[in-house]
Order: sequence, then C-alpha cells, then structure tokens
Amino acid sequence: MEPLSFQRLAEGVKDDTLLPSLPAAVLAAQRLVNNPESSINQIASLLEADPSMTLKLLKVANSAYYGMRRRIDSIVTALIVLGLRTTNQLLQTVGIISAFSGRVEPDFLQDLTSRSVLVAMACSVIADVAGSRFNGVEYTAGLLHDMGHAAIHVIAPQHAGLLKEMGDPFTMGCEKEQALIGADHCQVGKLLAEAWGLPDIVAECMATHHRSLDGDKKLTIPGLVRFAVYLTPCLAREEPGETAHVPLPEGHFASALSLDDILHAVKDRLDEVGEIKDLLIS
Amino acid sequence: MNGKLMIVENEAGTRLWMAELLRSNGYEIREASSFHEALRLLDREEIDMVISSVGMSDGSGIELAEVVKKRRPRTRLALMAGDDVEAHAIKGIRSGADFYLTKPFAGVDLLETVQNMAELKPEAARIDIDGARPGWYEFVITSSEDALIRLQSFLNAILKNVLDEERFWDVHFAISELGRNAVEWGNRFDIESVVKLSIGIKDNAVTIKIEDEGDGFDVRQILQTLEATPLPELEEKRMAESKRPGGMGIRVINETADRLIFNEEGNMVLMQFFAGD
Repeated sequence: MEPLSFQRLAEGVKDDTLLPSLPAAVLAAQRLVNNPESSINQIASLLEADPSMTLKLLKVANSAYYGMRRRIDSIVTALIVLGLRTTNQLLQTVGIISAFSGRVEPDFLQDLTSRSVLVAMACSVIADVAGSRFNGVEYTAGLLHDMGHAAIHVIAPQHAGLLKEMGDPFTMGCEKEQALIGADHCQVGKLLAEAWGLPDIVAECMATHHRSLDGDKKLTIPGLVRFAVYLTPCLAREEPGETAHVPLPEGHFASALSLDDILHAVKDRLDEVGEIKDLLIS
Repeated sequence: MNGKLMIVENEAGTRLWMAELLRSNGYEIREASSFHEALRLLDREEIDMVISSVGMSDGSGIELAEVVKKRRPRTRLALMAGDDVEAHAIKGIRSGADFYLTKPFAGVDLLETVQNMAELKPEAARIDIDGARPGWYEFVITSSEDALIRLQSFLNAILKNVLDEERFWDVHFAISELGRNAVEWGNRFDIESVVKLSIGIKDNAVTIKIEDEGDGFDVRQILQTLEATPLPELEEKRMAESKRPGGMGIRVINETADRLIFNEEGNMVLMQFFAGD
C-alpha cells in the first residue's frame, strides 16, 4: 500500500463526490440559531420544514433526561424545553452524524461521535468553570477536532483499515499515523476545515489538538480543545477522584482551576446527555 | 419622607401627574424633561430613585440607566415605555435598570413600581439573560422574590404586547405562582441557587418553562388532591392553615393554561397559553 501523499489527500478532500458537505438544512438552522436577530418564528419554521430534524428534536425533548410527564409535540415547545444552547449543540451534532452517515462504518461513526461529543462537552464545561464565554464556538471546535479521522476513512479506506489493525486510531498519535500511512488526521482535518469553509479558529483546533500544552498559559479555544483532548482518558475512567493528579505544565491556564470540579461537571453533563447522544446516533 | 426620586419624562402632562401623585405619597420629587437635564441633576444631588422614559429627544432612558448604574450603583432606576417594548425590555435588563413600567399605566402601577424600587435588595435580585432572540428569551435569576418581581416587570411589558388583558393576567399569575414555588419550595429561599425561566412567543401561543435546582416534589399527588377538592373548599382549608391563598396556584393554572406539564423530578414545569381568537 502506497503512503498517502499530501497531494492525494488534498484532492480527496476537495472531491465533493467523495467527501460530504455539511448538510445545508443543518447549516441554515445553525446560522439562524446563532443569529441574535433570528426570531423563534423563523427558527421553528425552518426546523419544521425538515421532518427528520423536527423528529430528532422532539425525540430529545421527550427523552427520559428531560422526563416530561406529557408528550412534547410541537417544535416550539421542544425548543423551549431544550434551550438555545442545547438546540445549537444538537444541530451541530446531528449535522456531523448526517454528513458521515452511510460513508463510514457505523461502529466507527459511533466511536468518533462519542469521542467528539465528549471533547465538545468538556470544552463547554471547562469554559464555564473558567468563567469564559466563547459563544458556543468551543463546542463546535471540540465536536469537529477529530474529523480528520473520518476524512481518512472516506478518502482512503484501506489506509484507515491498516490504522485500525495496528491499534486504536484515536489514541495512537500523529507520529505513528505518519509512520504507518504517511499522513495524520490533524493534517487531513485542516484540509477538511478549509474545504468546509469553517472559521480559522476551528481549523486551527482540528490541526493542533495534539500539540503540547506547554504554551497554553492563557485560555484560548485551541488551548481548550488540547486540554479537553488531554483529559479524555481521565473522563473515560469510572472515578473522577483519581484524576486530580493530572500533571500540567507550569503556568498552564487550567492550573488555576479545580480539575475535580471540571471532571465532575463534565461527567454529570455526560450522564445527562448520554441518552440524547444515543438517540441522535440511532 | 420616602426618599428622593427623579422623574425623567419629556411629556409635561405625564411628568406633572406623576410628580403630584408621588409627592402626595411622601416622596421628594425632582423633575427632568430631558436626558441632559437628568444628568445635570444627578451631578448636583444625591438621588435615591430614578424613573425615566425610554424615548427622549436628546438621549434614551436605557443610556441613562447605564450612566446611573455606573456612577451611582445604589440608585434604583425604572424605565417606562409604550412602544417597541420587547426590544426595550431586553435592553433595559442589560443596561442594569431595576424595573420596567409599561405605558400607559395607572397611578397604582406607578406607586407599586416605586415601592418595589424602594424595597429592592439588588444583591438578591440578579437577572442574567442566558439567551435572547425575538420571541425566545432565557433568563437565570437569583432565587428570590425580589428577582422574580423584577423580572416580571420586564416580562409584563413583553406579554402585554401579545396577549389580551384576561390572558395576560392568566400568564402573569402563572409565572408569579410557579416562580414563587421555585424560589420557596424548590430552592428553599437559598439565594445561592438560581431559577431558570424561559419564554417563547410564537403566533398565538406563549410557552413558559420554569426550572429550579431543588429536589422536586410529587406533582401527581398534589394535582390529584387538588383536582379532587373544589376550589372554595381548598381556599378555606388554606386560609385556616394560614397559608397564602395563591398556594393552590397549580390548581388554578391547571384550569387556565392550555398545557401544563411537569417533569418526573418535579423541579421543572412547562406551561402553554394560547391567546384568544
């Protein structure tokens, strides 16, 4: 098997018959939800025009997490139950799942989505704990940071298969990916971000989320994503108490925060949204 | 004397009527007919309370609220406006204004607002806007009656704009009752806790969600008891127990709301009211 050349990756990413674009309906809804001038009338009308989106939002609003005693059957009521922030996060998550659904193996998509939602939630919670407001961009950046993996699966399924044979592609690291297939998911992620026209800050997160934490003295979105990715193994553990000893470089922005608070908050949020995520993936 | 209050209103008739009414109720009144006159008075004198019209030819009441809250954070301020209320109410909260009075108003509304300003404990009456889109608002308030009363003054402006009077009072009562339940029974008056209140207005429906941080309560049992007992009997029983008459609010709301849905935990309620024809 020939190594993946930058040229081939770039061509593959630009090939719109190969790689998906973000679903237009989801993008339009997201733009509306993010725009402070958009009224609830406009948002609800747009969502109602997409039956699958309406169904998903209603499913979530009727899920056990919200535990409503009677059925929520209108999109406006669902929006009020979910709230602006969750609606926006759901639309993004649904968008990513829809984009890659049918193009990659379901098991891989489920692993990727679970991991991406975990990092996105962590970014959101850490920003809250740190008292910073990034207006939801941190969630987007966390959700999309690893999409380079998905792009490799679509452009070069054989290479993706090789990575899978050699270990867990999500944790093996960029150097090993480079050695095995001649490219890594961060490079591909950056190309994908450009092809999708994502904001520069999100592209930077897709390209740099495995870099060292050493320079992250101040809280920035790329630094936040790196930190959330760094915490992922701790988040997967049963007892967050163990994680209080996570070593951090001197002067790292998170040194001033309580790791226990962060991890407990992320775990609580994940318990809350676990079912929602399953509903979306199904 | 109840305190020094400045009225900022460019419409002379309204200003004089307000001044007379408030003077006769024990307030020391200063009058300003414009934004700049109000600023000059604020520079010269210690003012306890300001009640200002939003629209003035040389500046806005919202701008004045920002100046007042920056220069003299302890001074209370209420805004009054009758047009573009939705935008003014949200801008008003963001400016730090304490209350909102929808024009036209009766003397009793003015006196009540001024009384609320005088009694307000700002440290326990914080309102944060978590999200705002036309017709869709999400607020997080300190768990206190002060915060609820404050928020309702702004919500009233928005709701009066879309509901007829009867329906407005149904919704006002429902928010008041279930908001107080959240403060009193949900969060047990703990001002470290918050109450989240969301409101959606689409076409002819108003949807409201109120959520507290408490452990919740057995809604089913309460509703069953309430539904099995006639209202007058309930009222009598509560009076005998020295409980506030509104304590049976859920029963009333159950009758006036088009939809009333609690969550299983009993710490979140969703209400929907359809406007008249």
